[in-house]
Amino acid sequence: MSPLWRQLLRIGFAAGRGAPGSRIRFAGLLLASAVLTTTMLAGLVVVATYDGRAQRDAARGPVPAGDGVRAPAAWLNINRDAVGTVPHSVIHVEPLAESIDPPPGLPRWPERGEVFLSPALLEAGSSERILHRYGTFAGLIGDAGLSSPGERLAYVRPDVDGGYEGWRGIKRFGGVDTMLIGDSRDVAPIGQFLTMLAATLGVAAAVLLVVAVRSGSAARDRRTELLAALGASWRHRALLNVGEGVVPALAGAVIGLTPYLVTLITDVRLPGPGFVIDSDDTRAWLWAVPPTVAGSVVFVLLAIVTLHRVDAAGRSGRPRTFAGRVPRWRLVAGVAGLVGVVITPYLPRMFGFLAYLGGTAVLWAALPSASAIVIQRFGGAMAARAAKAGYVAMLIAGRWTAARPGIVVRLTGVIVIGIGIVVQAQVWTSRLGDSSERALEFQRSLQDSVLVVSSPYLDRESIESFAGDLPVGSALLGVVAPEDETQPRRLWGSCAALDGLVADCAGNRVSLRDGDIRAQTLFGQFRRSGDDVHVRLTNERSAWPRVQELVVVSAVGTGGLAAHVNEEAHRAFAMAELNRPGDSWAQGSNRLTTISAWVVFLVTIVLSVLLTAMGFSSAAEFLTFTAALAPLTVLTERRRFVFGVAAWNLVVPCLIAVSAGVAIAAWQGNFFVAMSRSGELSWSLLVNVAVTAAVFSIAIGVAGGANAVRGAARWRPVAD
Amino acid sequence: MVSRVHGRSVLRIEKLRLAVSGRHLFGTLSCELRSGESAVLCGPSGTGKTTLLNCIMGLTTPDDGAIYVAGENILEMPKRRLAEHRRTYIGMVFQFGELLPELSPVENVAIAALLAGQPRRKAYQDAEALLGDLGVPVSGTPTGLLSGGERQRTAVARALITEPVLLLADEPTGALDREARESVADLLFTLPRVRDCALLVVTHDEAVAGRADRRFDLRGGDLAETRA
Repeated sequence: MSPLWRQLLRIGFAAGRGAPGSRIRFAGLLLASAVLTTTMLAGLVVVATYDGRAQRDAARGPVPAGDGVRAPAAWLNINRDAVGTVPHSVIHVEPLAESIDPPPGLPRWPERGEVFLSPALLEAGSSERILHRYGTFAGLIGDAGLSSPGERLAYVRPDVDGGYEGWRGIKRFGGVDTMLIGDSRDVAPIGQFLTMLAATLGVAAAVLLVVAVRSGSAARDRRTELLAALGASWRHRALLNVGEGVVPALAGAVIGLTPYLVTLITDVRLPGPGFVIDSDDTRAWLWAVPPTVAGSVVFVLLAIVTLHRVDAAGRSGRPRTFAGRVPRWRLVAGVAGLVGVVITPYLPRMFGFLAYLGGTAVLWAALPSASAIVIQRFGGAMAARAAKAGYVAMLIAGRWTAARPGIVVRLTGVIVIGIGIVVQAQVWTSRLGDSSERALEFQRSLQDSVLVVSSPYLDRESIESFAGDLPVGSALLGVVAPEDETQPRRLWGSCAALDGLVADCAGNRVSLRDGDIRAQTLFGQFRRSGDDVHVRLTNERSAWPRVQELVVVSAVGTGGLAAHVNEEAHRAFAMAELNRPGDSWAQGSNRLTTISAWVVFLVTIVLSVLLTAMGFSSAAEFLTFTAALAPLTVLTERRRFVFGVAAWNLVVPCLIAVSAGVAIAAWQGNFFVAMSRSGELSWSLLVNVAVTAAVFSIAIGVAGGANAVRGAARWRPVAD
Repeated sequence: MVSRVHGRSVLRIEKLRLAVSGRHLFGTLSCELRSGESAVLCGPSGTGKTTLLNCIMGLTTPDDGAIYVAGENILEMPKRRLAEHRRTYIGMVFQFGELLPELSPVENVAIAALLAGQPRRKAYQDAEALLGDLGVPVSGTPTGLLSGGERQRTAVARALITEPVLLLADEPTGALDREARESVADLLFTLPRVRDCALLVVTHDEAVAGRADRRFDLRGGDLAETRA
């Protein structure tokens, strides 16, 4: 490195420590670098997790024996069960060949009637006595057998004699052409996940970086101009800027690395989605951490260098005003975006969706420019009003706002965008949760009053045993499904069991259509192509033909039976499955609920980052405040007017932005609901967000005023 | 202490002592200024000229001594009273004007009056009249677009609008060209007689210093009056 380079770096380093507002910028760059590094490493965690899962899936997946194979190495049968409404897989196995190894994660093959459970299933199902549901607990499934440490999974070797009809023959566990089992069947593609990460955390990190780099930019811009005038090349200026930013960039990267380091040491459960990051996966990708962190630092330094360009238009020594600086085309683009959103319903479906997305993006992107014009005019009007009335604080604030709308735009932009993101996320998640909410509502009214038990092994003896263990007040019905699918299904049971379900229990013409919610549910569950479900009345179970399913009926609204009946069903019948009508509905939408949890999780982080950016942007403004008002404050010793300036310059525009943000977000949210005909806008959330944003705005004003008063108390004329 | 101009005592400094970072800035410094009288404070850089102005304004507290402004010792005043006293009796012109560039010159001057509690109409009228007297354009031109001399004259107008008995100026011509310097200096040194106030100017400029009634040199922590 030549002496000049070293010298420039050193000057930059010194400037970073000595310049006004250097502490704020240092902290801003430090945080931006930390957030960016964490975001990039979060991407690495995603890659590592998907890679680890793919490897484990390949190692644990059963390999089908194929139809032509007469003697498979093991039988396999997979059921779905649930704890609450969260589904999990129950993998039934029966080894046939001596040579076949147990599935990865199991120390040995389970004995007949034994079960291995994953730690997450054991923990989540403790209230439902999951330990006793599938048989004798033999141990925990090790990490090697799980797609992630949070996976709920059970390996069961049921106690059945012969009769493996419907089971699938497999060659082994692991290898090529394996089947996906467990949670791996419901995983979103990695590209989708990384895109979501980039669109949320990535954008927030970029906003924070730009705000931090430009904080207190006036002094640095002047220095850049000076160096350019002295003949410094782009490289020289870059070196100086790098020297100024390299320490916070490096320190921030070290801080941003910390979460990844934690995932190296232990498994980490993410709050919200509840996903558990496997430390083995992150350790396997440790080699990629240094280049990722280095990439993050380089990105920060590039941003520092490229955001300090020499103004080609040249500058004078006079203060710069921004009147008329906002290009008109941005306003036109904003209007075009608005038109795109508004005409969405009149376009074909695919075009409509694209117009909505594109229009929304352009609308939000043009918002700062549009608000700059509005804020500029607002500032002018404020100053004119203040000049007439003789309000000093309002006059100064109005003139400042008109001369430098960008500062207020940054603040208000973050507010409006933040409110918009919260409301959009709420509307999306309400839309995703709509079907599961309806399913849950149905289940809440029905509770456990209708439970359907199925198993390939429903023999007369087991049914008697099961019936004997049912809770008091519950009765049993049998379901016969003729193989000829044109024939209606038949329910067998006694009038005592149907008591209350149907209005009239006599003869053989009992109709479920006219019964209560349980009868309606049974009708919906078992009807075939419009036919009624036929009911056969008998008081003797011995008169039942061979049944395919059983129904446990209890009084309407009876709760807390499912876990008990599930356990008894498994005790009586091998490979039993218990369903509550609506369960598949609720469980199916559970995946959507998980997506909602991810959206909420990411939006929470994004908002935190945006608020931090707003805080830094404001803090940088306080310095301008302090420097400009200090002499006047010292001369007049009127401190209250400083708070007045802060209120008019920062709080009032922010409060107006809150109102505008709420109005825009409410309109767009309602528009989205009307367009998609699903979801709903939560007004209570909107009010909460508005109140929070308003409190934050006032806090910014108070902090700004207090800072300026403190600064004025320290200020002294220094020329000598 | 000798005074050629006979007016009431506006500023009296008695045995002022101040040490900064272990260095004695002022030993036992004394002087007096009367209304209608102008004085310059000269001396090499770092001798404490601006610090002395800060002491007179009550922004820096000396270790010992007394500073009487308009007959009252400001060092004995509680904070609030000191602020009020400063607002009423002292005007200050800073080296770089310290104006708000986004405001018009009239507004920059008027806000000092408004903050001092004057009614709006009077504040604006006085500001316009003062600026007119001092030759500053009173149209809507932002202060940031004025010339250096005009900006400094606006700063003088702001200092004068509350009709102070003591006007302090810290290198008021330091950043001006020759022509502007002459015009600002002419203006400043006519003020004591026209407005019956006392003027104390810190300057390095001999041409400016030559216009004053009295000259103090700050050397070795003490004031030496070198010209009567």
